Amino acid sequence: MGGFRLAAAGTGEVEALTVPVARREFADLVREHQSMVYSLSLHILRDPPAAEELAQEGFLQLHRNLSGLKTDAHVVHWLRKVTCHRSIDRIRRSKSHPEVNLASAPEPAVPCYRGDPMLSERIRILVASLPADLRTVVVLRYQEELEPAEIAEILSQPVRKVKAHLHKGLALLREKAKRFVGEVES
Amino acid sequence: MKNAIALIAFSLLPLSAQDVKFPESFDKLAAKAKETVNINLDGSMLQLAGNFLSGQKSGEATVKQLAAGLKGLYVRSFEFAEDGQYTDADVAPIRSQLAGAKGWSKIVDVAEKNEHTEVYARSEADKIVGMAVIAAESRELTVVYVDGPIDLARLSKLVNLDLDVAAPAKK
Amino acid sequence: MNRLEEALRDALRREEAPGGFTEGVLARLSSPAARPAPWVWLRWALVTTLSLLLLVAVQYNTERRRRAEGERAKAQVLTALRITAEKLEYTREKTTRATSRGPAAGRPVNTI
Repeated sequence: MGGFRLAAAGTGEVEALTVPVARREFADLVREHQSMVYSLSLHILRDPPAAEELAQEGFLQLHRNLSGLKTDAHVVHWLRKVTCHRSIDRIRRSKSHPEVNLASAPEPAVPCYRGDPMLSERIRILVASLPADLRTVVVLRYQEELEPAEIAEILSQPVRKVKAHLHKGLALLREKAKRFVGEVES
Repeated sequence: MKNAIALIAFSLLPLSAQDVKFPESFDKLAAKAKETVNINLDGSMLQLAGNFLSGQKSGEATVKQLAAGLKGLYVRSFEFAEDGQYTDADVAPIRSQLAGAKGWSKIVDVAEKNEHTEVYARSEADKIVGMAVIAAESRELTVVYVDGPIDLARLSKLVNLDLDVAAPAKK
Repeated sequence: MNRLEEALRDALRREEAPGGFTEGVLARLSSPAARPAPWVWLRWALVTTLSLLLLVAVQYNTERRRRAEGERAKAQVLTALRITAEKLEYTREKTTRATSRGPAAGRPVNTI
């Protein structure tokens, strides 16, 4: 259904995408997709309690709109779309989530190495310092492994705009991140 | 000299939706008059009035029929407290318009001591499609311009009818 | 794949939702808060009613103005045609009198 795929899709998971939603319990749907939804909102908002609340609200909204969704692939697409749009709206509305200035992210005392948990945290902070629209594109690309065309569908934007955001977001991240991971291959 | 200029100016005015234009001097006459009637009804207002005229009451039904085909109905009437409040020069621009306008001709001209009444009609294919009345008396001046076909026989019936008419505008 | 992208994939991998997440969603589903509060419907009903009332008021006002304008126009038509008829009748009488008295009495050009 539209080429959607999970980060670690195997045969069983691909088959599950085409199972009619009506045959599945809603609780199963929540369990199956809660990690994706929570992670999307967490990486965009960088606020665990807010991310949990937003993710739960997304599923409540899913429950109200379930009759209009035919397959699990529809559900996945719908959840990604709603979670991203709600997260962006929340950022724009909330003064408690000011975009972190890239320059204000503290630098480590020593360079980080790959696999270093501090590095991942540092990268997450840098991602959170991006403007909301660039941040969302980066998260969808690297958390969900989506192609620009798929991201464009979720965000209802032209593909060239998504590519431009991705390019710009990576350029900003590269500038700051090179101090932690060394010079980055372009 | 000023009157002559006014005369020429008004006679050169292009004839438009309202063929006969009342001269600006009429504003000054209104200021002097003790009673004024000032009516300007174009086609749309006549149509609106027609919607409110009863087809059942005999007087209003006659008026409704008269007004039905008209494109415009304009009246200026001044009643003065004393003689000499207006002159021929005030009326001359209208006479000049009617004298020079295509299709218009004077059909009645009755003059007596201190009274002069003129009736002009515009004809098209032997039908009267416009009428102007200039009634000048020592203490009253009335000019009526009817744009559109008017049934004179039907109009004459209005004289004896008891119409429920609002009093004219008083100063 | 460059090192930044590797780092991004590591950093942005999916995380488990907090414990009790599904139960929390299901609990909210069955709580009264999950259903639209009655006052939401009441608000919409109020907005709709007020809008309708406003529409009716505007229509009534427009009709009232139109009626007043129509009555005014009617009065003016009655007045104007009455004046016209009276002047013509007066002229006819004078013309008739003048004609009966002979040409010296007046100078009618024509009669209607």
